[in-house]
Amino acid sequence: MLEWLTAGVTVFITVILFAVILGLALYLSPKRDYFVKSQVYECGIFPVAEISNFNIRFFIIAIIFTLFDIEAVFLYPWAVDFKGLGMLGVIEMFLFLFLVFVGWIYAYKKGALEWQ
Amino acid sequence: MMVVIWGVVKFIVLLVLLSVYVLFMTWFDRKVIARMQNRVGPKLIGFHGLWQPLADTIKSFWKEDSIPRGSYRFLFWLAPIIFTTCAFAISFVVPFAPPIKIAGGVLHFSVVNINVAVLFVFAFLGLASFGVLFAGIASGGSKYPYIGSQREGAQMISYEIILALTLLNPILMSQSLNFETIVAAQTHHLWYAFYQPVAFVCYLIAMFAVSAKVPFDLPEAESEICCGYFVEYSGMKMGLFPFAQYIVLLVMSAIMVLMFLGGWTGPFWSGGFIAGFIWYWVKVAFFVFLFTWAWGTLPRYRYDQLMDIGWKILLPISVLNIFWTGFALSAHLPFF
Repeated sequence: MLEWLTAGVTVFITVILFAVILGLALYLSPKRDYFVKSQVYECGIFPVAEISNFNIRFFIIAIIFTLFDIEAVFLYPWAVDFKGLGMLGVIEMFLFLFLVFVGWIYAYKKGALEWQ
Repeated sequence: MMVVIWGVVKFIVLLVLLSVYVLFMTWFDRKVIARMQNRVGPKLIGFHGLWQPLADTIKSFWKEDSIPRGSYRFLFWLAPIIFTTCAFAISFVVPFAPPIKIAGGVLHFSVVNINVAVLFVFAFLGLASFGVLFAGIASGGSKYPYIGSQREGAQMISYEIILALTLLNPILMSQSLNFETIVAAQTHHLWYAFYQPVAFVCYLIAMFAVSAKVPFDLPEAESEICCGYFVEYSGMKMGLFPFAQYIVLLVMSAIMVLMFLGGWTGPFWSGGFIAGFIWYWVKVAFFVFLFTWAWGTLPRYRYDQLMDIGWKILLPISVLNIFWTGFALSAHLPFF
Protein backbone atom coordinates (compact mmCIF):
# COMPACT_ATOMS: atom_id res chain seq x y z
CA MET A 1 0.00 0.00 0.00
CA LEU A 2 2.86 2.36 0.87
CA GLU A 3 4.41 1.71 -2.54
CA TRP A 4 1.24 3.01 -4.17
CA LEU A 5 1.35 6.07 -1.90
CA THR A 6 4.93 6.62 -3.10
CA ALA A 7 3.77 6.31 -6.71
CA GLY A 8 1.01 8.86 -6.10
CA VAL A 9 3.31 11.30 -4.29
CA THR A 10 6.05 11.11 -6.94
CA VAL A 11 3.63 11.49 -9.87
CA PHE A 12 2.13 14.52 -8.10
CA ILE A 13 5.61 16.01 -7.55
CA THR A 14 6.36 15.45 -11.25
CA VAL A 15 3.25 17.35 -12.35
CA ILE A 16 4.11 20.24 -10.02
CA LEU A 17 7.74 20.21 -11.17
CA PHE A 18 6.96 20.50 -14.88
CA ALA A 19 4.31 23.13 -14.20
CA VAL A 20 6.92 25.13 -12.26
CA ILE A 21 9.44 24.75 -15.11
CA LEU A 22 6.88 26.07 -17.60
CA GLY A 23 5.94 28.88 -15.23
CA LEU A 24 9.60 29.85 -14.84
CA ALA A 25 10.03 29.89 -18.60
CA LEU A 26 6.93 32.09 -18.90
CA TYR A 27 8.37 34.49 -16.29
CA LEU A 28 11.79 34.71 -17.96
CA SER A 29 10.66 34.94 -21.57
CA PRO A 30 10.02 38.21 -23.40
CA LYS A 31 6.48 39.08 -24.50
CA ARG A 32 6.40 40.93 -27.79
CA ASP A 33 3.28 39.66 -29.48
CA TYR A 34 1.84 41.05 -32.68
CA PHE A 35 -0.84 40.00 -35.14
CA VAL A 36 1.22 37.89 -37.53
CA LYS A 37 3.28 36.20 -34.84
CA SER A 38 0.29 34.74 -33.03
CA GLN A 39 -1.12 33.28 -36.22
CA VAL A 40 -1.21 29.50 -36.70
CA TYR A 41 1.62 28.15 -38.80
CA GLU A 42 0.95 27.32 -42.43
CA CYS A 43 4.07 27.47 -44.62
CA GLY A 44 4.46 31.19 -43.98
CA ILE A 45 1.29 32.37 -45.71
CA PHE A 46 -2.05 33.36 -44.18
CA PRO A 47 -4.01 30.25 -43.15
CA VAL A 48 -6.53 29.31 -45.81
CA ALA A 49 -9.42 27.55 -44.08
CA GLU A 50 -10.43 26.07 -40.76
CA ILE A 51 -9.84 22.36 -40.37
CA SER A 52 -13.20 20.74 -39.78
CA ASN A 53 -13.25 17.17 -41.03
CA PHE A 54 -11.91 14.05 -39.43
CA ASN A 55 -10.95 10.80 -41.11
CA ILE A 56 -13.41 8.13 -39.95
CA ARG A 57 -10.66 5.48 -40.19
CA PHE A 58 -9.14 6.75 -36.94
CA PHE A 59 -12.48 6.20 -35.20
CA ILE A 60 -12.74 2.63 -36.51
CA ILE A 61 -9.18 1.92 -35.37
CA ALA A 62 -10.07 3.24 -31.89
CA ILE A 63 -13.10 0.91 -31.69
CA ILE A 64 -11.09 -2.15 -32.74
CA PHE A 65 -8.45 -1.08 -30.24
CA THR A 66 -11.04 -1.26 -27.45
CA LEU A 67 -11.80 -4.86 -28.41
CA PHE A 68 -8.18 -5.97 -28.30
CA ASP A 69 -7.33 -3.94 -25.22
CA ILE A 70 -10.10 -5.71 -23.32
CA GLU A 71 -8.65 -8.97 -24.60
CA ALA A 72 -5.23 -8.01 -23.22
CA VAL A 73 -6.80 -7.00 -19.88
CA PHE A 74 -8.38 -10.44 -19.56
CA LEU A 75 -5.19 -12.20 -20.62
CA TYR A 76 -2.91 -10.63 -17.99
CA PRO A 77 -4.50 -12.16 -14.83
CA TRP A 78 -4.71 -15.49 -16.65
CA ALA A 79 -0.99 -15.33 -17.47
CA VAL A 80 -0.04 -14.53 -13.88
CA ASP A 81 -2.04 -17.45 -12.44
CA PHE A 82 -1.34 -19.81 -15.34
CA LYS A 83 -0.21 -22.85 -13.29
CA GLY A 84 -2.95 -22.36 -10.67
CA LEU A 85 -5.79 -22.40 -13.22
CA GLY A 86 -4.54 -25.55 -14.92
CA MET A 87 -5.84 -27.17 -18.08
CA LEU A 88 -9.39 -25.79 -17.74
CA GLY A 89 -8.07 -22.22 -17.68
CA VAL A 90 -5.97 -22.88 -20.79
CA ILE A 91 -8.95 -24.25 -22.76
CA GLU A 92 -11.25 -21.43 -21.65
CA MET A 93 -8.71 -18.77 -22.53
CA PHE A 94 -8.04 -20.37 -25.91
CA LEU A 95 -11.79 -20.29 -26.64
CA PHE A 96 -11.89 -16.60 -25.70
CA LEU A 97 -8.82 -15.81 -27.82
CA PHE A 98 -10.35 -17.74 -30.70
CA LEU A 99 -13.61 -15.76 -30.51
CA VAL A 100 -11.75 -12.43 -30.52
CA PHE A 101 -9.63 -13.69 -33.40
CA VAL A 102 -12.82 -14.46 -35.36
CA GLY A 103 -13.84 -10.86 -34.67
CA TRP A 104 -10.54 -9.71 -36.14
CA ILE A 105 -11.10 -11.85 -39.27
CA TYR A 106 -14.59 -10.31 -39.63
CA ALA A 107 -13.18 -6.79 -39.34
CA TYR A 108 -10.50 -7.67 -41.91
CA LYS A 109 -13.05 -9.11 -44.38
CA LYS A 110 -15.35 -6.08 -43.95
CA GLY A 111 -12.44 -3.84 -44.89
CA ALA A 112 -12.20 -2.04 -41.55
CA LEU A 113 -8.39 -2.30 -41.63
CA GLU A 114 -7.95 -0.94 -45.15
CA TRP A 115 -6.42 2.51 -45.75
CA GLN A 116 -6.65 4.27 -49.06
CA MET B 1 6.57 6.02 6.09
CA MET B 2 10.24 5.21 5.44
CA VAL B 3 9.22 3.64 2.12
CA VAL B 4 7.70 6.90 0.93
CA ILE B 5 10.70 8.98 1.99
CA TRP B 6 13.08 6.54 0.30
CA GLY B 7 10.87 6.64 -2.79
CA VAL B 8 11.06 10.43 -2.95
CA VAL B 9 14.86 10.34 -2.48
CA LYS B 10 15.19 7.81 -5.31
CA PHE B 11 12.84 9.95 -7.40
CA ILE B 12 15.10 12.99 -7.05
CA VAL B 13 18.17 10.94 -8.00
CA LEU B 14 16.27 9.51 -10.99
CA LEU B 15 15.19 13.00 -12.05
CA VAL B 16 18.78 14.26 -12.09
CA LEU B 17 20.09 11.17 -13.89
CA LEU B 18 17.36 11.20 -16.55
CA SER B 19 17.88 14.92 -17.21
CA VAL B 20 21.59 14.33 -17.74
CA TYR B 21 20.75 11.34 -19.93
CA VAL B 22 18.39 13.38 -22.13
CA LEU B 23 20.95 16.18 -22.48
CA PHE B 24 23.60 13.64 -23.43
CA MET B 25 21.29 11.87 -25.89
CA THR B 26 20.48 15.04 -27.84
CA TRP B 27 24.22 15.55 -28.30
CA PHE B 28 24.78 11.86 -29.09
CA ASP B 29 22.03 11.73 -31.72
CA ARG B 30 23.32 14.82 -33.51
CA LYS B 31 26.92 13.66 -33.38
CA VAL B 32 26.29 10.06 -34.56
CA ILE B 33 23.97 11.11 -37.39
CA ALA B 34 26.42 13.82 -38.44
CA ARG B 35 29.21 11.24 -38.57
CA MET B 36 26.99 8.89 -40.59
CA GLN B 37 26.41 11.66 -43.12
CA ASN B 38 30.10 12.70 -43.26
CA ARG B 39 29.47 15.92 -41.35
CA VAL B 40 31.20 17.16 -38.21
CA GLY B 41 28.19 17.80 -36.00
CA PRO B 42 28.26 19.98 -32.85
CA LYS B 43 31.84 21.00 -32.29
CA LEU B 44 32.20 24.49 -30.85
CA ILE B 45 30.93 24.56 -27.27
CA GLY B 46 33.06 22.43 -24.98
CA PHE B 47 34.86 19.19 -25.82
CA HIS B 48 33.42 18.09 -29.20
CA GLY B 49 30.33 20.17 -28.49
CA LEU B 50 29.41 18.36 -25.25
CA TRP B 51 28.03 21.53 -23.63
CA GLN B 52 25.80 22.27 -26.63
CA PRO B 53 22.61 20.63 -25.21
CA LEU B 54 23.06 22.44 -21.89
CA ALA B 55 23.38 25.74 -23.73
CA ASP B 56 20.25 24.91 -25.76
CA THR B 57 18.29 24.15 -22.58
CA ILE B 58 19.30 27.37 -20.87
CA LYS B 59 18.51 29.31 -24.03
CA SER B 60 15.03 27.83 -24.35
CA PHE B 61 14.05 29.36 -20.97
CA TRP B 62 14.52 32.82 -22.48
CA LYS B 63 12.64 32.09 -25.69
CA GLU B 64 9.33 33.82 -26.27
CA ASP B 65 6.36 31.66 -25.40
CA SER B 66 4.09 32.28 -28.37
CA ILE B 67 0.55 30.89 -28.19
CA PRO B 68 -1.50 31.03 -31.41
CA ARG B 69 -4.77 32.97 -31.50
CA GLY B 70 -7.88 30.85 -31.09
CA SER B 71 -6.13 28.06 -29.19
CA TYR B 72 -7.60 26.49 -26.04
CA ARG B 73 -5.12 27.96 -23.59
CA PHE B 74 -5.73 25.54 -20.71
CA LEU B 75 -5.33 22.43 -22.88
CA PHE B 76 -2.40 24.05 -24.65
CA TRP B 77 -0.62 24.38 -21.31
CA LEU B 78 -1.76 21.02 -20.03
CA ALA B 79 -0.64 18.93 -23.02
CA PRO B 80 3.17 19.04 -22.49
CA ILE B 81 2.72 18.55 -18.73
CA ILE B 82 0.56 15.43 -19.27
CA PHE B 83 2.89 13.98 -21.88
CA THR B 84 6.07 14.55 -19.86
CA THR B 85 4.56 13.38 -16.58
CA CYS B 86 3.29 10.14 -18.12
CA ALA B 87 6.62 9.43 -19.81
CA PHE B 88 8.36 10.12 -16.53
CA ALA B 89 5.95 7.98 -14.50
CA ILE B 90 6.73 4.96 -16.70
CA SER B 91 10.34 5.13 -15.56
CA PHE B 92 9.32 4.90 -11.87
CA VAL B 93 8.64 1.15 -11.96
CA VAL B 94 11.65 0.15 -14.08
CA PRO B 95 14.65 -1.02 -12.04
CA PHE B 96 17.83 0.73 -13.16
CA ALA B 97 20.26 -1.65 -11.42
CA PRO B 98 20.10 -5.11 -9.83
CA PRO B 99 18.68 -5.15 -6.26
CA ILE B 100 21.24 -5.48 -3.45
CA LYS B 101 20.78 -6.94 0.03
CA ILE B 102 21.92 -4.70 2.86
CA ALA B 103 21.30 -4.95 6.60
CA GLY B 104 18.50 -7.51 6.40
CA GLY B 105 16.55 -5.60 3.75
CA VAL B 106 16.66 -5.38 -0.03
CA LEU B 107 17.45 -2.11 -1.77
CA HIS B 108 15.52 -1.82 -5.04
CA PHE B 109 16.75 0.59 -7.68
CA SER B 110 13.31 1.61 -8.87
CA VAL B 111 11.27 4.44 -7.34
CA VAL B 112 8.32 2.13 -6.67
CA ASN B 113 8.63 -1.63 -6.55
CA ILE B 114 5.09 -2.90 -7.18
CA ASN B 115 3.80 -6.29 -8.26
CA VAL B 116 1.94 -5.01 -11.32
CA ALA B 117 4.80 -3.01 -12.82
CA VAL B 118 3.98 -4.02 -16.41
CA LEU B 119 0.38 -2.86 -16.06
CA PHE B 120 1.61 0.42 -14.55
CA VAL B 121 3.73 0.95 -17.67
CA PHE B 122 0.79 0.31 -19.99
CA ALA B 123 -1.53 2.57 -17.99
CA PHE B 124 0.78 5.56 -18.26
CA LEU B 125 1.70 4.82 -21.86
CA GLY B 126 -2.02 4.95 -22.68
CA LEU B 127 -2.40 8.25 -20.82
CA ALA B 128 0.58 9.73 -22.65
CA SER B 129 -1.35 9.60 -25.93
CA PHE B 130 -3.86 12.03 -24.38
CA GLY B 131 -1.08 14.61 -24.06
CA VAL B 132 -0.42 14.34 -27.78
CA LEU B 133 -4.12 14.47 -28.70
CA PHE B 134 -4.63 17.57 -26.50
CA ALA B 135 -1.62 19.23 -28.15
CA GLY B 136 -3.21 18.70 -31.54
CA ILE B 137 -6.71 19.78 -30.58
CA ALA B 138 -5.63 22.82 -28.56
CA SER B 139 -3.49 24.34 -31.30
CA GLY B 140 -6.29 26.58 -32.54
CA GLY B 141 -7.29 24.82 -35.75
CA SER B 142 -3.76 24.58 -37.06
CA LYS B 143 -3.57 21.84 -39.64
CA TYR B 144 -0.24 20.14 -39.04
CA PRO B 145 -0.72 19.57 -35.29
CA TYR B 146 -4.24 18.27 -35.95
CA ILE B 147 -3.05 15.69 -38.51
CA GLY B 148 0.01 14.80 -36.45
CA SER B 149 -1.91 14.22 -33.23
CA GLN B 150 -4.48 12.00 -34.98
CA ARG B 151 -1.68 9.96 -36.48
CA GLU B 152 0.17 9.68 -33.19
CA GLY B 153 -2.98 8.69 -31.28
CA ALA B 154 -3.92 5.95 -33.75
CA GLN B 155 -0.33 4.71 -33.99
CA MET B 156 0.14 4.60 -30.22
CA ILE B 157 -3.03 2.65 -29.49
CA SER B 158 -2.45 0.24 -32.40
CA TYR B 159 1.04 -0.67 -31.30
CA GLU B 160 0.22 -0.72 -27.59
CA ILE B 161 -1.83 -3.84 -28.33
CA ILE B 162 1.20 -5.44 -29.96
CA LEU B 163 3.31 -4.50 -26.93
CA ALA B 164 0.73 -5.94 -24.53
CA LEU B 165 0.36 -9.20 -26.47
CA THR B 166 4.10 -9.76 -26.97
CA LEU B 167 5.02 -9.00 -23.35
CA LEU B 168 2.39 -11.57 -22.36
CA ASN B 169 4.71 -14.40 -23.43
CA PRO B 170 7.52 -13.72 -20.89
CA ILE B 171 4.81 -13.12 -18.29
CA LEU B 172 3.23 -16.52 -19.09
CA MET B 173 6.62 -18.17 -18.67
CA SER B 174 7.61 -16.42 -15.43
CA GLN B 175 4.07 -15.86 -14.02
CA SER B 176 4.87 -12.48 -12.60
CA LEU B 177 4.29 -8.85 -13.53
CA ASN B 178 7.29 -7.58 -11.55
CA PHE B 179 10.45 -6.89 -13.54
CA GLU B 180 12.85 -8.15 -10.86
CA THR B 181 10.97 -11.46 -10.53
CA ILE B 182 10.95 -11.90 -14.32
CA VAL B 183 14.72 -11.36 -14.45
CA ALA B 184 15.18 -13.81 -11.57
CA ALA B 185 13.12 -16.39 -13.51
CA GLN B 186 15.48 -16.01 -16.46
CA THR B 187 18.50 -17.02 -14.39
CA HIS B 188 17.09 -20.57 -14.17
CA HIS B 189 16.38 -20.77 -17.92
CA LEU B 190 17.97 -19.27 -20.96
CA TRP B 191 16.96 -15.70 -21.77
CA TYR B 192 13.37 -15.49 -22.98
CA ALA B 193 14.50 -14.15 -26.37
CA PHE B 194 15.63 -17.70 -27.17
CA TYR B 195 12.25 -19.18 -26.22
CA GLN B 196 10.25 -16.39 -27.81
CA PRO B 197 12.08 -15.17 -30.93
CA VAL B 198 8.79 -14.19 -32.61
CA ALA B 199 7.63 -12.11 -29.65
CA PHE B 200 11.11 -10.59 -29.42
CA VAL B 201 11.04 -9.37 -33.03
CA CYS B 202 7.42 -8.17 -32.77
CA TYR B 203 8.30 -6.19 -29.63
CA LEU B 204 11.33 -4.69 -31.35
CA ILE B 205 9.15 -3.37 -34.21
CA ALA B 206 6.39 -2.18 -31.88
CA MET B 207 8.98 -0.43 -29.69
CA PHE B 208 10.00 1.78 -32.61
CA ALA B 209 6.36 2.53 -33.44
CA VAL B 210 5.26 3.38 -29.90
CA SER B 211 8.12 5.78 -29.32
CA ALA B 212 7.43 7.28 -32.82
CA LYS B 213 10.98 6.99 -34.08
CA VAL B 214 12.30 6.35 -37.60
CA PRO B 215 11.16 4.28 -39.59
CA PHE B 216 7.76 4.89 -37.93
CA ASP B 217 8.03 8.62 -37.19
CA LEU B 218 4.82 9.45 -39.10
CA PRO B 219 3.35 11.74 -36.38
CA GLU B 220 6.28 14.14 -36.63
CA ALA B 221 7.47 13.56 -40.18
CA GLU B 222 9.54 16.69 -40.74
CA SER B 223 9.31 16.66 -44.52
CA GLU B 224 5.51 16.14 -44.64
CA ILE B 225 3.93 17.86 -41.65
CA CYS B 226 6.88 19.77 -40.15
CA CYS B 227 7.16 18.09 -36.73
CA GLY B 228 3.48 17.26 -36.36
CA TYR B 229 1.75 17.87 -33.07
CA PHE B 230 4.20 20.40 -31.59
CA VAL B 231 4.41 22.80 -34.51
CA GLU B 232 2.65 25.57 -32.57
CA TYR B 233 4.72 25.12 -29.42
CA SER B 234 7.74 27.26 -28.67
CA GLY B 235 10.35 27.73 -25.98
CA MET B 236 10.38 25.42 -22.97
CA LYS B 237 6.95 23.92 -23.79
CA MET B 238 8.38 22.68 -27.05
CA GLY B 239 11.47 21.38 -25.26
CA LEU B 240 9.41 19.12 -22.99
CA PHE B 241 8.12 16.95 -25.89
CA PRO B 242 11.52 15.63 -27.06
CA PHE B 243 12.50 15.30 -23.38
CA ALA B 244 9.58 12.91 -22.84
CA GLN B 245 10.28 11.05 -26.07
CA TYR B 246 13.86 10.32 -25.08
CA ILE B 247 12.66 8.96 -21.72
CA VAL B 248 10.08 6.71 -23.42
CA LEU B 249 12.84 5.47 -25.71
CA LEU B 250 15.09 4.59 -22.75
CA VAL B 251 12.29 2.88 -20.82
CA MET B 252 11.21 0.85 -23.87
CA SER B 253 14.83 -0.34 -24.31
CA ALA B 254 15.08 -1.17 -20.60
CA ILE B 255 11.83 -3.18 -20.69
CA MET B 256 13.10 -5.02 -23.76
CA VAL B 257 16.28 -5.98 -21.89
CA LEU B 258 14.44 -6.93 -18.69
CA MET B 259 11.76 -9.05 -20.36
CA PHE B 260 13.64 -10.74 -23.18
CA LEU B 261 17.40 -10.43 -22.63
CA GLY B 262 17.80 -11.41 -19.00
CA GLY B 263 18.24 -7.96 -17.45
CA TRP B 264 21.42 -7.99 -15.36
CA THR B 265 22.41 -11.61 -16.06
CA GLY B 266 25.15 -12.37 -18.56
CA PRO B 267 26.46 -15.41 -20.39
CA PHE B 268 29.64 -15.22 -18.31
CA TRP B 269 30.91 -13.13 -15.35
CA SER B 270 27.49 -12.73 -13.77
CA GLY B 271 26.51 -12.42 -10.14
CA GLY B 272 27.46 -9.49 -7.99
CA PHE B 273 26.28 -5.93 -8.24
CA ILE B 274 29.05 -4.46 -10.43
CA ALA B 275 28.87 -7.22 -13.05
CA GLY B 276 25.07 -7.03 -13.19
CA PHE B 277 25.13 -3.26 -13.47
CA ILE B 278 27.58 -3.35 -16.38
CA TRP B 279 25.75 -6.13 -18.23
CA TYR B 280 22.42 -4.36 -17.86
CA TRP B 281 23.61 -0.98 -19.10
CA VAL B 282 25.63 -2.44 -21.98
CA LYS B 283 22.45 -4.10 -23.28
CA VAL B 284 20.27 -1.01 -22.74
CA ALA B 285 22.86 1.22 -24.40
CA PHE B 286 22.87 -1.07 -27.42
CA PHE B 287 19.12 -0.63 -27.94
CA VAL B 288 19.30 3.12 -27.35
CA PHE B 289 22.03 3.24 -29.98
CA LEU B 290 19.83 1.12 -32.27
CA PHE B 291 17.27 3.96 -32.33
CA THR B 292 19.92 6.47 -33.39
CA TRP B 293 21.31 4.03 -35.93
CA ALA B 294 17.88 3.47 -37.49
CA TRP B 295 17.33 7.22 -37.55
CA GLY B 296 20.49 7.75 -39.55
CA THR B 297 19.85 4.82 -41.89
CA LEU B 298 16.25 3.97 -42.67
CA PRO B 299 13.62 5.74 -44.79
CA ARG B 300 10.08 6.37 -43.51
CA TYR B 301 7.08 4.10 -44.02
CA ARG B 302 3.78 5.31 -45.46
CA TYR B 303 0.86 5.55 -43.04
CA ASP B 304 -1.16 2.74 -44.66
CA GLN B 305 1.94 0.54 -44.59
CA LEU B 306 2.40 1.30 -40.89
CA MET B 307 -1.20 0.35 -40.11
CA ASP B 308 -0.96 -2.79 -42.28
CA ILE B 309 2.18 -3.93 -40.45
CA GLY B 310 0.45 -3.39 -37.11
CA TRP B 311 -3.03 -4.77 -37.71
CA LYS B 312 -2.56 -7.33 -40.48
CA ILE B 313 0.85 -8.85 -39.73
CA LEU B 314 2.01 -8.28 -36.15
CA LEU B 315 -1.39 -8.68 -34.46
CA PRO B 316 -2.28 -12.17 -35.84
CA ILE B 317 1.32 -13.33 -35.37
CA SER B 318 1.39 -12.29 -31.72
CA VAL B 319 -2.05 -13.82 -31.02
CA LEU B 320 -0.94 -17.11 -32.59
CA ASN B 321 2.27 -16.89 -30.58
CA ILE B 322 0.23 -16.75 -27.37
CA PHE B 323 -1.60 -19.90 -28.52
CA TRP B 324 1.76 -21.59 -29.06
CA THR B 325 3.21 -20.49 -25.70
CA GLY B 326 0.12 -21.55 -23.78
CA PHE B 327 0.09 -24.91 -25.53
CA ALA B 328 3.82 -25.49 -25.02
CA LEU B 329 3.66 -24.60 -21.32
CA SER B 330 0.56 -26.67 -20.53
CA ALA B 331 1.82 -29.69 -22.51
CA HIS B 332 5.26 -29.45 -20.82
CA LEU B 333 7.10 -29.56 -24.12
CA PRO B 334 10.90 -29.99 -23.87
CA PHE B 335 12.80 -26.73 -23.13
CA PHE B 336 9.64 -25.12 -21.68
